[in-house]
Amino acid sequence: MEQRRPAAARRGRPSPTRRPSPARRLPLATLLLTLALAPFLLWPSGPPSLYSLWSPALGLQVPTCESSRVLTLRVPPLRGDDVTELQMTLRQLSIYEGPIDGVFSPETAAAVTATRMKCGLSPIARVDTAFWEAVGADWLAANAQVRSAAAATPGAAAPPAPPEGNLLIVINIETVRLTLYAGGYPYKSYPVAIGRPGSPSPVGQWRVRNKGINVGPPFGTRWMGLSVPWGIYGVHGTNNPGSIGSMASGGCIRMFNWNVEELYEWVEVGTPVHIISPHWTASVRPSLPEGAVGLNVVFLQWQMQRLGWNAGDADGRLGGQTVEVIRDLESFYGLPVDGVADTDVLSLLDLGR
Amino acid sequence: MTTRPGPLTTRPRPLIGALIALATILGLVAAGAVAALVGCGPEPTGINPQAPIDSARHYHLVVWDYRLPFTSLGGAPYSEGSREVIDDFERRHPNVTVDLHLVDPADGPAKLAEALAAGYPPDVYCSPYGPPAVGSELQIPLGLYLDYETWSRFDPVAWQAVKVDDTIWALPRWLMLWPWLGNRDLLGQAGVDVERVSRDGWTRDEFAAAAARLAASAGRGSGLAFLDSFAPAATFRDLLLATPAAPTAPTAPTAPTAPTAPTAPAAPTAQDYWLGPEPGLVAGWLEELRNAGGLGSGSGAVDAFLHGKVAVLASPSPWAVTFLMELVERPAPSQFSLPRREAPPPMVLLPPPSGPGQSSAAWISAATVAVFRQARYRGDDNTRLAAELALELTEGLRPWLRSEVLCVPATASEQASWRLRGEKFGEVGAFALESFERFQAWPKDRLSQVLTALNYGGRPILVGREAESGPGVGSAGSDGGVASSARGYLGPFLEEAVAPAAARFWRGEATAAEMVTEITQALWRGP
Repeated sequence: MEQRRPAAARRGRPSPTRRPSPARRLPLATLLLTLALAPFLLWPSGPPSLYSLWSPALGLQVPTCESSRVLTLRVPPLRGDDVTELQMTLRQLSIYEGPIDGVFSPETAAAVTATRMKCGLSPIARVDTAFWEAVGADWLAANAQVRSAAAATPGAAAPPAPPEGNLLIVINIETVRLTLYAGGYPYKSYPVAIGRPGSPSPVGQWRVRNKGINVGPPFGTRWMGLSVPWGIYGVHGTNNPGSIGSMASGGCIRMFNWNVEELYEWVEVGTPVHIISPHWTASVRPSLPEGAVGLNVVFLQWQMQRLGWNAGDADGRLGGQTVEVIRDLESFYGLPVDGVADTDVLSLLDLGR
Repeated sequence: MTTRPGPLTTRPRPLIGALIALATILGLVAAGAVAALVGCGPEPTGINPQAPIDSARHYHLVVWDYRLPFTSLGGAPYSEGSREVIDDFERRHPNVTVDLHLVDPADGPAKLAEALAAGYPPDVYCSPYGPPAVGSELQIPLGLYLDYETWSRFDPVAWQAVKVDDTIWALPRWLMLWPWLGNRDLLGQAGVDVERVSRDGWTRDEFAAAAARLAASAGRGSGLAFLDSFAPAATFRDLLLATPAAPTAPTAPTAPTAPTAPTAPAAPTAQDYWLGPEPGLVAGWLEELRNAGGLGSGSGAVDAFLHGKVAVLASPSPWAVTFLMELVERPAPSQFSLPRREAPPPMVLLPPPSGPGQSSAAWISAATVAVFRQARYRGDDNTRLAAELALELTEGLRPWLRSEVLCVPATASEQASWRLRGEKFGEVGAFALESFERFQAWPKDRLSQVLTALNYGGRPILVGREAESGPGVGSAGSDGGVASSARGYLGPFLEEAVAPAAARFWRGEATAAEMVTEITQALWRGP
């Protein structure tokens, strides 16, 4: 056998026609196997829909505020906030009377199947894009008055005149409404859905960071991303209009599609968006390091603004401007100037223990 | 054959000589012009405070004021007061433009230092913190712009607070009282007659005895401290204020090792508080208090005081006092809710304890308005306008001052209404009135020295002719000198020289003797 090997092989060089040995084929096989199993490894509860891959095309990041997974009956059963929202929707449609427990149980599956049949879809226990579109259409048909009632401008059949002056969007978590201010005055108000208690909408002073059209069914027809530093949140439409007015989202602000389409036309990238929650109690940990991010920082910045310190937007980032203002406060009050919001600084901001 | 070249000329040709002379003259003229352009011209040797204002000339003045975020109870915003004065000034002087720049508290002094180093400070510099003099030759002594009527409008204490070496270097915008804060309940537990102490003051012995009583009544492990400090350096200053000044040459008790013989004219002299025995006495007393467990850690002192862990909070700034005592109106938050806190302890204003034979007195500082010229001098008329604007800014904050109980107006007329308004602030107003009256009884020369030397370091240094001819109030109308550049502290002394040593002492990392030595060395070393 050895004598029949090509000269190149005998010289230790691989022959272009030589068949690889089984051991050499192993890495290739492993790679192929990994690729095949990747969806199941990465998404054990089901791979994402293709629309979640929209972001590279638009240059946007994938939002974290809405679940886009397909729900089916599995063992063990799927669990999560998206299942809770499904159960609430099914109950709203008077199709489901089971517990709202976030578990995709056989009872939930039966209600899904029934809903699909009612909407003319295949009778399987599968919650996908087609399901939500059908449910949304069904809900809207049953609630035709919502569209006119939702609009704050009475009798606004014709498109309203564009707002003039500087725009500001204020979303009040407690009234579950979004109000557009133009030139300092309220211009129009819309009902919204906000984050669930477990995934609250981010209070703070943000700005519209990016915009997109039809970025994916869970986000309705329009998307306006916010500059929240600890996640991807936005103001967007929905394929579940029945959720509007409730605490249903993963933190994003959902609007009726026709509302968000209107707002989208007026709002530019950079427009300020303030999400407020008047009864949400501030809590600030002392001595947050520079660069810290989170609600702690939002409350610190908000309180500084309130007491006359120009800390800029309450944008949740303990950046240079906030540190400079802390230094000003320390200097003004005669404290050692180090730019750290320690217990003494917090006491002088009414944020002490 | 070579011929040796003869001399080019046997006598100067008239034409060449004329050309050389012309070139020399042109060169001198050019050098003079360049020097004038780059501001290297001769410094003004005297300023005519009555220099006529040229109505055909356009003047441009720059004013720096601080951005004070403070919103007082029903008061007007601080910076609006300055803006209104400037607008009014511009209306009356159509050929004057004034630019108002607001600087932040943390970087204002550094910005001024940079501007002085570059030779282009603002024409008028308003500071809520002082110091009255900054040791720069560009600062204009203001005594020569004051006539008797202006002089008499202001309280004598206010003039003393802005006088350095008998020269008025700034105008007093207001005076600010720096009381200590006491926890009424804990002081009662320590057997202190709170009302009497607040009214009449107390001695260091009384203070130490009260600390011992509180420690005994609370027991070990209570976590209670009798005294903690908002800013240890300021506490040290406050205690020195009510300590007898050394009548003789200083012999620091800790025998500083680093200082060398004071041969330079800038050397501090016997009058300096920081080089006498007083710092050693005060530090020693604090050390005894610490050894007896009466001293807090200095870290989180405000928080500890608000939670009833400290009986006396030393040296909070007046702004902090008005905030902590909730004399400042808080706007209701609309975006969120504030955490529910424990009710703050019942508070009382106190003077720091005094040394033997001294009366207790809370520290007093002056908010100042200074005038500068620039390296490229813009004329006595420009300086006169700046001085006039400075005087108007000094007197133009009435609406804002009316709601500041710990800010004593500098003018006598405003003081009268401040006294009347003091009643509406209850105990705080009464304390402020009594504290200020105590200062009015002090010998004026001692007051001037104490208020500058204790806060801003060794006495400011003036050398040569300027030191002797620096105009005082009585020299209004005469030519005045300018301050020469100086070595020594005038401003950041507490922060640079005292604060590091005092903080180490308060944390227990240095003894009293080490603290005093460090401060003394820093003073000798200079900034």
